[in-house]
Amino acid sequence: MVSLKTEGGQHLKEVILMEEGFRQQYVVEVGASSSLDLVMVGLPGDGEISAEMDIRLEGRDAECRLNTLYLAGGNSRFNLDVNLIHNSPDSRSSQLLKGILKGEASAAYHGLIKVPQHCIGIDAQQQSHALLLEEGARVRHLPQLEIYADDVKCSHGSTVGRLNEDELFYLKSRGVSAEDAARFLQTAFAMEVLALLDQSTLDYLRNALTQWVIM
Amino acid sequence: MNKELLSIKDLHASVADKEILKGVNLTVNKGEVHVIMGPNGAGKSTLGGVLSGNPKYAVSQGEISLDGESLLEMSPEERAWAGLFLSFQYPTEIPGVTNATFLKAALGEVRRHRGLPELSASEFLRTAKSKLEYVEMDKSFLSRGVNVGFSGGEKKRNEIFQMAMLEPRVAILDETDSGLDVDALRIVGTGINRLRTQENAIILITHYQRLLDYIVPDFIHVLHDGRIIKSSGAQLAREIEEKGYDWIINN
Repeated sequence: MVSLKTEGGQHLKEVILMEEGFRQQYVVEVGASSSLDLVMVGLPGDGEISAEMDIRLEGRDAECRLNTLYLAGGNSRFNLDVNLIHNSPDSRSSQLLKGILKGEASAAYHGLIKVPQHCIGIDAQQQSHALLLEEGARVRHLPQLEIYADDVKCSHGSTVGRLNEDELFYLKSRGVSAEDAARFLQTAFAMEVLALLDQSTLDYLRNALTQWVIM
Repeated sequence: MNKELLSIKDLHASVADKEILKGVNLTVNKGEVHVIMGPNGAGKSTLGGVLSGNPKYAVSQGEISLDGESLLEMSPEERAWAGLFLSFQYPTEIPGVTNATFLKAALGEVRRHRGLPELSASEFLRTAKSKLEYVEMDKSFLSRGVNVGFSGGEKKRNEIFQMAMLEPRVAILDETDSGLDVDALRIVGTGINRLRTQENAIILITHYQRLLDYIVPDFIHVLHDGRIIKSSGAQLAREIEEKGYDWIINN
């Protein structure tokens, strides 16, 4: 278990790289006027990744942003469980999950957002999007909102799709190879999370990323 | 010397089992500019899509050849390598991929398949800068995401810029003039004119004659109900502007 805590007006950013065999539970606490930016990148290779996040927002103006990208191929599996509790009024959270799957890979995401009765003025957002590149790939998104308070702003959205044929055609009609055309669109899809990584992390991941995206 | 570049013979094509093109015949020679006009639903955009290999369209009959080589069996990228270019009515936005990265990949493939050496980074940049002038764009355009946040006019100028970079043998420009204000229209029109050579050919698909204030075509064809029903010289566009299509269709 890994424990992450920010308080006293601190602003923390953590990048979590998850590779084949990764299995970890995180307990995260964000205090008043503090914020935590978590960026998670999952590259399961041919194995499994499993991450569990227990996130508690424990003070006014506490804010947590969780941005995750995973790229799964072969027979790999990616599992992410997020339990996020707004334990204080006027706290904010946002989650973005983006996954690209091919081969026989599978992914499961369970995202619970809980807002107890006394916690008003909450802003909680959750987005999960997956691209399935091949027939054999599977994905399951389970968003879950438990809201017991009035005056909260909660939104969630979930999509599972394929590469857009019209967009692929546009790129190919310019002479871009079919493989690169797909990688360009995958880059566009993954960019929201990739853009949050610094250059040294990108350099470290370069070899693993190039089969998926063009950097 | 053979002057024929593109040959379309008895082309029939459908989308979602509905036949749109019902026997199109067209021969385009080197150095020529052809205009395809016609009422809505005539099949103009379908023709552009079929030529460039959009998988949405099914060809049931006929032949298309570029410089004697049959195009119908080729994928869209193979057609681009062979020298075909289609400018889109609604160009795709690709966030996170810069114009430069995209064009480098496209030009790299096109040059490789045409047996030309790869351009170095500085050669690419030099070429790109000089071609940007054709459409009055500055080099900051190269580092922007492909078509992301571009105005309608900028998107169309970007299409012409890509055409300038890829140097196609046959360029099909699908409603490149739609949604342009007067300045953008002048820029796009002038840009296309500069790309006209004795070795290539251009097919303009349009509703209006206004782009033809800048580009004087060799031929104007009227497409109606999936067939070319009239072919004539440049003056036909003005007649259509004044009188519409009915007098041609009913003749």
